[in-house]
Parts: sequence; structure tokens; C-alpha cells
Amino acid sequence: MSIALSIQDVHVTLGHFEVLKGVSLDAEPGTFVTLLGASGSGKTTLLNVIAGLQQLDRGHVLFDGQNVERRPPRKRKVGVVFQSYALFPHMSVGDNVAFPLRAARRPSVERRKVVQEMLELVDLAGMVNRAPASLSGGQRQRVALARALASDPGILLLDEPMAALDKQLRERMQVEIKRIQQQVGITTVAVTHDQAEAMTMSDQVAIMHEGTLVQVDSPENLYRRPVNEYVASFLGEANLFPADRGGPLALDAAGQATGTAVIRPEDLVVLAPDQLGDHWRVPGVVRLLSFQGSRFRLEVVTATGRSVVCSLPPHTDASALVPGSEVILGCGAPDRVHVIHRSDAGDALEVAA
Amino acid sequence: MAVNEAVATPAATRRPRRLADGSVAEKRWLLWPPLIFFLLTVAGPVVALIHQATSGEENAFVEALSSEVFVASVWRTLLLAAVVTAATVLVGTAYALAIAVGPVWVKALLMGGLLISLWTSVMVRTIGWMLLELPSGALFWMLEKLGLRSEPIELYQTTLGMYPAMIAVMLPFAVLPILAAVISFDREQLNAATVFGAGPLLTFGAVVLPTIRQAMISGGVLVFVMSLGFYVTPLLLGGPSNMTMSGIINAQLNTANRADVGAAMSLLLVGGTVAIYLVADRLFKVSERWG
Amino acid sequence: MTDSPLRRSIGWYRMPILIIALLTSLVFYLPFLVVVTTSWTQTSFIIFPPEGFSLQSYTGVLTDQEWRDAFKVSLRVASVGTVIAVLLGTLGALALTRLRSRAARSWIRTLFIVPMAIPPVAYAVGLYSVSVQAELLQDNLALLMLGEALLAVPYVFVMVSSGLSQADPALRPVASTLGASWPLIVWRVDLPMIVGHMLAGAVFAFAVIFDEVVLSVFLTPIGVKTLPLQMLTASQEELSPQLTAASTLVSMLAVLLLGGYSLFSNRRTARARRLSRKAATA
Repeated sequence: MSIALSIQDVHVTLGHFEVLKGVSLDAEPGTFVTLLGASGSGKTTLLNVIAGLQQLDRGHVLFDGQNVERRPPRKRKVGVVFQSYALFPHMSVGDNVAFPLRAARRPSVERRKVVQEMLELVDLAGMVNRAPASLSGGQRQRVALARALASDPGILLLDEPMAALDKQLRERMQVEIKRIQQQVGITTVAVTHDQAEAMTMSDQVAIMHEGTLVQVDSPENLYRRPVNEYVASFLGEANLFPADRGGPLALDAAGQATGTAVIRPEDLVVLAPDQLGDHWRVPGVVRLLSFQGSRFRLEVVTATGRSVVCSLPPHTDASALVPGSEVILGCGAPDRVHVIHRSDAGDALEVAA
Repeated sequence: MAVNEAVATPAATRRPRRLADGSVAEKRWLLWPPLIFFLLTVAGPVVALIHQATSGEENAFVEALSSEVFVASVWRTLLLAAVVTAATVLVGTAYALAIAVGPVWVKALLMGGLLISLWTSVMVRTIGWMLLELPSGALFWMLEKLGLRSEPIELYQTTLGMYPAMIAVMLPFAVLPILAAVISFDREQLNAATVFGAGPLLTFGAVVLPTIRQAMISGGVLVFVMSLGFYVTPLLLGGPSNMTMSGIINAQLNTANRADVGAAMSLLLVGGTVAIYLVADRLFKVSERWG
Repeated sequence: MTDSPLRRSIGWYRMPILIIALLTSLVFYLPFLVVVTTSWTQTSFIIFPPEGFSLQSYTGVLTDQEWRDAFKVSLRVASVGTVIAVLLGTLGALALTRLRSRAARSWIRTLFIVPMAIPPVAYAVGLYSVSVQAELLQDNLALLMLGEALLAVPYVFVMVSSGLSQADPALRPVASTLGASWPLIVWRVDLPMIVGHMLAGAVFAFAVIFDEVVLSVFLTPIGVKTLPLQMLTASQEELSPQLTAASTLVSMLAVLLLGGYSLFSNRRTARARRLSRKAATA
């Protein structure tokens, strides 16, 4: 059982602070949606609204077209993996996983069967009688996931699922969670502030900023075609240049700009003196060159103090790019340059990427 | 950033790791003064008591233990302490939960009562209970006003009259540790229980109770042990038929003039109480909750 | 702010719990109210409800030499006892942080808490037996002060160690790698962090000693009485409004001092919390 989620114009105020300012979001059955935003953007509040743990002032939450905003959380059939996992410390792993079934007064035969299935699903068969405290962080997370899925909920909510794991484990668990989610086919909403995590796991990423959804799209579209400067610089490294309809402008022509060009570091190249031509270019001074395995990361400062980041292939001969030397950067893939046209409000953010 | 190990341990059991052992000189200067003080103020009286208890012609311990009045008072004191403990822990749990979930005015009222009880002397409170329980005291006046009773009440210097006062005296010691446990409750666990469909009773039994049980035990142990030494409240409110061990000891010294028997009884009372505390401490880690 | 996850989980039995708690709070308020109200009666004996309103029993207590002496004796005993208790309780709490062995820590902790469990009458008898042996300790308040200090040590110890457990355990090793000797570390690293808790412990210890009656029954020299002892004696004679007036006065004093102190310290911690939050978000 997997439901379609629809959130319509949800407003939430905590104290005097408007945490959610009219958020709308739709998720098809079986999709994985991640709410991505900085802390304080309202993403956890939105998750709590879906779970029913947060009352809303205005707006609607629909599960398969049915209003649930008046339904108490224990009747919503949601599965939640909490940030701290919130495993009950005095219960065994098995009892933890069986808890939703115990709450629903299911017979113990069924409970045992489901516990077995769930623990197999998360690769923890044989750990039924262990105490949560004796498990590693990753194992605890799997138990929390098994518990969240045990009563066959319509929707799975993950609150910063990787926050308590170290970096290596994170990457493994992201793949693991995605595998389980696809196997079960359950509609899933996750909350994170980690863009790599959001990109790895989700079908759709919803960028939240100060209580509103800025853009909801597939990871690739978000990266290639951000709707504004905030999204562009939030997701990956981005160089923002003044632009008009035709593309990026020379830095000294910023006055004529009608928009912002987003150029990703991998689309910038170092131009040799004979390649200049009349293409768009940015002159600057090398500040830092670092080798990062799959690329060289070159940071250049322009005459106006703007910092520009460029990725160079790992086999580049970078011996000339010592800090302080002058370089000219150009755009290697003009067709991949995305221009954000200034809206009528004209809220161009001055972002130094 | 390996915080994963710490996350699932409840806050109460998490202790900061001490990074280094102190130097010998450091430990000596910090630890010896209190230890010497304990030696003087505890061992001194104990030695003096032993000396006193063995000063008579007969064995004072045998005499104390064969005294029917004393043995009866032992059982009475134990029963009293058990009843007071059970009542304070039960009521104290409700009290602490009410402080956490009540509206602001209830919270203020409950905290206020707790603070009044902590800040005013046992003497003053016991005097208050006396005035309440006197045959034509304040309680009678209230019942009369409510039309519930017309003849004077017989509470003063009865067993029944003694209990509410003692429970009131001991209640803060049960409420405070439980309140601390309730306040540091893991909210996500409560949310988890709710989200997974647990009703109030299951949540209480499966999540709330296991989390505050340790605090209930700690408070209970302390109340029990302190109740064993009750003196003033039973003396003033319980009357002569409700003498606790402390009362009997006092009588041995001041009325019967048997200092040796009194000393033997004192040793038995101190020894028994401290032994009970130590056993409970080993079993339930009571001191760790407090210190 | 009301705790909404807990309130939601408690559900329907929230009301019964609130009612039980409110009824229970009567056992705290009623005796106190009765003491206060009976003290302003115009009659020369205690009566409830009081008749008329007068402050005669207050002026009576405040001018009565016996009550005034008792108050002074209690002040003296409580002051000396508090100083001893704060000193030793703090030392013990500091020593606890410097012990690495689990067993040693747990024994020290128990040792500093166990005086709470000592039955006061039996302990008083023991101290009395000491004074019978040692003439030096007769006819003065020294033993009483020492005994009261022992009973108050646990409260100081509990407060100070809770303060120390909130402190960053890495500060001390850091200071010592910077070359500070241990007395300097105690003085410049530990004490500044716990001075508030020491003060709280001192306030608590003072209140405990000031109110304690049993030790004074056995240990005060003939003719000297502490305030609670004076009350105990008065409560066993004919009850006079002077007794409740004195009770009211000392309670009011305690409420004013302790309430004032906790308001002051609450404001301080609230300010500290605001500052640290500001520092964290800046």
C-alpha cells in the first residue's frame, strides 16, 4: 500500500515565527521526495505536519485525496524514522520492530512473522533478541527503518536519517535506503540538509528556504536549471555572472544585466593566449589550486574581487597555475550555461559562490 | 564525527568521560579533608555509642532486641516507612507528570506547593498539621462549613492523622528526581510511540514508565530510608501509641534512663538504615542519580 | 511552555493526573495557610478561624527575649555549619572529577550522599555520647555545628557535582597541558564554573541546618535553644499565637531569601543561555 501525498498551501506559526508560509507539494505513489534546505528553513516542521505531530494553521494535507489534517498521528498510518532513531532502549530489536503491530493489537504469530520479514529486508535477520544499545549506528538505523515499515504504512518519513552516522556509513546507507524503498515501493518523504544525500536518494528534490518551497524538481534539473540564485548556489558549486538574453556578460558590462548566468565549474576552461577570440571570458589571478582526485579545483579571483571556481580534468598539466599567476577563464560549453532571468520583482541576490 | 554511539543512550546515564586521573597530591588535598571530617563526625559517635552500649552490666543489644516495645516499634517504623514510600512515589509520579503536562497556572501552583514545602521548616509544617487536625481545628471547621460533619473529628494523635503529614513532608524527595526524569524525557520516543499507533496506556507502559522507573526507585529508596528516622512528625501527630524507633530511643534516654539500651538501639537503627541504603544503592545506583 | 509530545502521549488520563496533583498540592498549602492565618488572631490562644486581626503576637515574638535568643542561636549554628558543609561538599565534588576508577567514584559518591540516610535521633544520641566523654565539647555548640554540617554536606555535594558534570571535561586537561598546576586549575578553572552551584548548595544547606530540630534536642547546652527547638517546646505546651507568628515570620524569611535567590539565579542562567544562543547563531 502506497499513497499519493498532496500538501496544499500549508501555513504554520510557532510562537510569533511563521515557519511555513504556504507550502504546496505533490508526490506520486511510490516516489521518493527529499526536502532539502538549511537549518531553520521549515523542512522538519513540514515533515511533522505530514506525520500529524504538528498542528497547522491553514492549508490541507491529503493522503490519496482524503483530508487528514484533523486525523490524529496514531491513526495516520505513517512510518517515521526519527533523527535519533528513537528506538525504545529497554526493548529488544524484535520488540521494537513489533511495536506498531502491538499497538494495533495484532496476534503474536503475525508479529513474529512480520518482525522476521522486516529484519530480513534490512539485512538484520538474527538480531531479534539484541538490545538496541549493543548495535552500531548503522544497525540502529536499519532497525528504525524496519520498525517504520512494519505495519505496512502508506507513507514513509525520514527525518535527517544520516545525521547520526559517520561519512562512510552515510554513503552506504543512502544506497541501502534507496534499495529498500524501491523494493517496498513506498511513497517516501525525507528531510536533509545534505545535498549529496538528497541527490543520491530522491526522485524529486524540494528546495526549502525560509518557510517556502523554492523549487521542486528532479536532481538533474535542479542542478542544470535552477530557478534562482539561491538554488544555484545551494546545490553544488556555482559561478554566477551577470547576463542578458544572449548569455553571460563581460564583468565590466554588469550594468546591462537582465539576469544571472549560472556556470558550473566543470563548464569553465582555462584559455590559452591563442584561443581568446571574441568569446566571453573572465580574467583573474589564481588564488588556490587543489588536487581532488577526480579533478583539479582552481579558484580564481577577478579584478573586482569575485571568486570563480573552475574544475580541470585530473590529467591537466597544472604546473603554470601557481597562486598569483594570471589566467583567463572561458566557457567550454556555452549550451550548458543556464540564465536565470530576473523576475519582475527583480530580486537579484548578490551571491559570491 | 562519530556521535552515533552516544545518541541512543538516554541522557540520564550519559556521563562526561573524565579525561585524566588527578595527581596524587591533588587527590590527597581534595579528598582528605572531607574524609577526615567524616571519620571524626561518623566514627566518633559510633565508637562512643558502642562504648555506651557496652557500659551496662547486661548486654544492651540483647535487652533491646528482647524488648517487646522496641520490636513492635521496629515493625511499626518499617510499615510506616513502606506506606509513606508507596504513597509518595505513586502520588509523586502523578505530581511530576502534572507539572510537565499541565497548563501554566497548574504548573505554577504545583511548583509553588513544592517550593513552600522545601523552603519551610518541618517544624512549621508539622505545627500546621496539628492545627488542622485538632478536634475542633481547621479541618473540622472546613468540613462543618461544607455541611459534611457536625461533631469534632478524631484525627489528632491517631495513626490515620499521622500519614498525610508525613507524606507531605517526604513528597518533595520523591517528586524532584521524577520531575528531573520527566523533563529530560526523549521527545522523539514519545512521538515514535504516537506515530506507531500506541494509545495512552501502551505509551505509558511501554515508554513513559520504563524511562522514569529508575527515578521512581531512587526517590523511593531515599524516602524509605529517611522515613525510618522519622521523629518529630510522629511524635506530635501520631501520639504515644505510634512511637517510632526514634521515639523509643528518646524515651530510653530521657524517661527510662537507660543510656546503654538507648545507645544499642541507636546503633541498630543507624546500622540498619545505612545497610538498607547501601544495598539499595548497589542494586539501583541511587547515589548516581543524586550526585 | 507546555510539553506537547508528553501531553499528547498522556491523552485521556491527563485530567485525572491534574486533579490528583492539584488535590495533593493542598497538603503543601493548607498547613501553611493555617499557620499564617492563626497568627493574626486577637485572642491569646490559637483558634481557627482567627478572630479579628492584629499583629500583637508578632510584636510579642519580636520583643520576647527567648524567641530572639533562639533566632540568634540558629543563625550562628546555621552559618558555621553551612561554611563547613560547603567547603567539604565542594572538595568532595572536585575530588570526584579527579578519580578515574569507576569503583572509587561510586564509593565516594555513596559516601557523600549517605548522611542523608542517617536517622537524626540515633545520630544525635551518638554525638551526645561523644560529649559525655569529652568535656571540651560540653556546654557549647561545637558538636551541634559539626553534626549539622555533616547532615548538610550531601545537599552541597549534589548541587556542586551537578554543576561540574555540566562543565566541559576537556578544560582541565587543556589547562594542565598549558602548564597550570593543580591548585591553579582548581582556583581558575573549576571554581569559576561552579561558584553558582556552590552558592545554591550553601543556600540549601543553610535552610536545612536552620530548620533541623532533632540534633538540637540532644545537643544544646542547658538554657540554650535553637529556633526549631523553641518551636517544638512551644508546640508541646499550650498552643499560643506567638508560635504560629514565629513560624510565619521564619517561613516568610525563608521564602523571601530562597525565592529571591532562585529568581536571581534563574535570571542569570536565562541570560547565560540567551548569550550562548546568540553566540551559536552568530
